[in-house]
Amino acid sequence: MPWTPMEQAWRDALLDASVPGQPARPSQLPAEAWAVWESGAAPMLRVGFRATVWVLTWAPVLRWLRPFHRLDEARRETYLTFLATRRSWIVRQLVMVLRLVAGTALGRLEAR
Amino acid sequence: MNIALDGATVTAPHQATVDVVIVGSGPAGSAVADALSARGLSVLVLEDGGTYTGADIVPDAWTSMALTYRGAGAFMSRARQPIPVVQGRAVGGGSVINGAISWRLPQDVWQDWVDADPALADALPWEALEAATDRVIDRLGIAPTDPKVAGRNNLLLAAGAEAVGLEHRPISRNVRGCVGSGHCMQGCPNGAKQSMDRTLLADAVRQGASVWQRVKVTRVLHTSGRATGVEAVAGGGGQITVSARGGVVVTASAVQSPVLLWNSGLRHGPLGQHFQGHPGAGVLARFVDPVRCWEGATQGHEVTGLRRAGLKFEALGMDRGMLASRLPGLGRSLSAELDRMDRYTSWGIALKAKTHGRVAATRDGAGVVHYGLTPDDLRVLARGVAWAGRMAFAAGAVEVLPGVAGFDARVTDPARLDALEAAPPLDPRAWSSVVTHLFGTCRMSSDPARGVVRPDFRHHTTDRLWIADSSVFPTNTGVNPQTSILAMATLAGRAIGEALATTA
Repeated sequence: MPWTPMEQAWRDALLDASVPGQPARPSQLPAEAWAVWESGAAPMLRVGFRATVWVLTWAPVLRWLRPFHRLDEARRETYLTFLATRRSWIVRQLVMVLRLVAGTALGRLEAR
Repeated sequence: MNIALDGATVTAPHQATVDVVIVGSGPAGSAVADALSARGLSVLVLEDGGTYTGADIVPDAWTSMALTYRGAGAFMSRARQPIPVVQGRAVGGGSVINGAISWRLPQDVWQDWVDADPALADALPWEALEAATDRVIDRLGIAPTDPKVAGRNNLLLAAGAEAVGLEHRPISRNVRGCVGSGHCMQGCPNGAKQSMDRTLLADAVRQGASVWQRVKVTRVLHTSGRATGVEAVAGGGGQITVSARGGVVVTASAVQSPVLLWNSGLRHGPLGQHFQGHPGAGVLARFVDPVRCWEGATQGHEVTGLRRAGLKFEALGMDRGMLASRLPGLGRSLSAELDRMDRYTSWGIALKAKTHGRVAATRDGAGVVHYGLTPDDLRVLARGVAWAGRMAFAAGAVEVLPGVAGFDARVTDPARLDALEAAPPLDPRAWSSVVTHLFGTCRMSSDPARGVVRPDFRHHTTDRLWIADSSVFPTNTGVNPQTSILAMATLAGRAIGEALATTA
């Protein structure tokens, strides 16, 4: 099922905040790059990444009553630092998926 | 290399008749195709993936992994801690996107096989394997990595190993004219890697063999205990039926071969059992001066001093995107690491794991791998991480990132590595690894109860059906298997050719 514009906005907010201040931003990835990724990625990765975006977007509501894309920059950073230092297995998996997609997205942008 | 048919264009039923149909175009399928086409047989090689060479190659992991790795490198095992099972999916198979590392089959591994099943000594004599290996080495231009293209990531591993007293050497690779562009894992942009599409498969095509790409074989056809051909689905949706007068050779990998046989109703023996591999973990280490691990031969140096203990170390240069994904932190902390990314070495640890898993077919006909690491294997892996760290410090690293959850994220005191080795976390969920080099799921044995194929690669119960990929290896090898696979498949090709000549 294709990503909705709303989901794409959540995804881009998370990815860009994961690697701030770099020469390129993952949100600059063209749609065809996402199409290639979606066509090749194993179902577990495709579904896992989408679930990651949903969970990490909405988890901040528990503390700040706002989803991630509505947080200010300082709170985004606080939240991401919190995630990166958790020892919980599930949080580590979510962070790993986010980092993998953000990192390879930067690599893709840099190579073109 | 000429591709006779692209399955993406096939939308209607399509039929063909040949002497031998080979399922899979990786090293095993290519070696068999070369051997059989050299005898003048009409050979058709069917490949699930597409061609990925020359202008198709792009130097970023995002795109190349989506195009040429099964599941974009995220085909996961089922276990408490799922592990990515890394497989290529292209004409040429894994040879297109591997590190081009070449090892002869170690004689101690062969001896283990023969000790367990003495009949293998006659079917696979050591001298014949060595002769086949020599031929492969010559054809693929296998030679130690030239220090001029090694790059600092490799040279620091050499320095570290030397300092701690572990045996090490430049990796022998199947390349010609390598310039150290650091893109082995994305496919060689310069055509230097002697992958199958440039060597044995291309030789087979020159000798008259045909290659069809983007054609997924779904069933081996058989009647009255004899294989007669295959059914397949083309990328364009058309049904393909190939009749094979001489027989069928399955070389689809240790995951796909047993699934294909299972789906074909050929379920003899321990099919899908005894899945083994080489799980690997990575260790990053930061140096004061730039390393730029993405430059130079991707995998140009190895440490072999602990091979008998089940460990091998390799420099593992990475595309910057992949390296970025492995750095710690998130947000500003990750960006700070990205700013000094050029200071990191990236080394891999390959484990000759004792774990046995299994491969099963799912209801939709796909395959699933049940495989996870046991505490015994994790203890050996921890030893490997500790030694990789020691080598890094000995080479001048200021900190080591072991990548083990529940242990220090950053190690600056080498003594902490002793603590990791002495009391490693034994929960597999603490470890990040991938498994490559897959074996054993159509195991070779003279005993029909213990093997799927006989020592001459023939299926135990179905005539005119051979399996010739690493799924027939009785155990894992502890070293990179491409050259062993090629040597074994060369012998298989010879045996198949002789069998067909006898019955013609």
